[in-house]
Amino acid sequence: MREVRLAELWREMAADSFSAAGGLFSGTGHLRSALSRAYYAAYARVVTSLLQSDVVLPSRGNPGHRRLPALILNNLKGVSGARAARVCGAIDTLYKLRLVADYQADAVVDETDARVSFSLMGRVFKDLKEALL
Amino acid sequence: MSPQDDGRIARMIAKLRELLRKQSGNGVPLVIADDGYVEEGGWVYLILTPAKPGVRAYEYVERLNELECELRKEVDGNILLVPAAPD
Repeated sequence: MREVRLAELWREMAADSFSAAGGLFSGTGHLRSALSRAYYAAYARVVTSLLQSDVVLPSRGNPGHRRLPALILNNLKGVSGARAARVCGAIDTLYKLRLVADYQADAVVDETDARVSFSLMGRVFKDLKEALL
Repeated sequence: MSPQDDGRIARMIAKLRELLRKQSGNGVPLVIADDGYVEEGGWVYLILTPAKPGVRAYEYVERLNELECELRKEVDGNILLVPAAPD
């Protein structure tokens, strides 16, 4: 039961960040923050699916990004290999964009980057939603 | 980290620099420091930074992804190429 509740909480966080990413972009033009939130939304959506696939999270609570590829490829229930690989690729690119947005002060983050991030975030949500139908 | 691991990662970095030299005209110029890596959970994270300021975020990431694919053809192991981040 605890896992079901936890999965629901992660799903809510994913949905909240999904909305926040769009709001940061369209409402205020905070592009770096929007990229960062887009990654987090996708991360939270992946964690939701991992919990729904009976994956036990590490004792500190959250899987690190570095463990995500293996977890995605080996554990998601109802997800084909091709779809898991697509989710994996999307979250990996989102992670890298997030690192650039948050830590590379002299890199240029523009509207195109934000749109790419949203597209990847949307792909993760769509693929994982379809997997559960 | 064992001396064998040190040698393995040094070879990865050398191969990566070779790829960067070969493709120096393609896309965003990137560099990697001798100690530009983190090893964790069986994965090696190679940290590349732009050689000049003002690169565009997606072009930087796209370049990392391309290099990652090329490097995986050349060396064994779980490798990810990433932008710099706090430890």
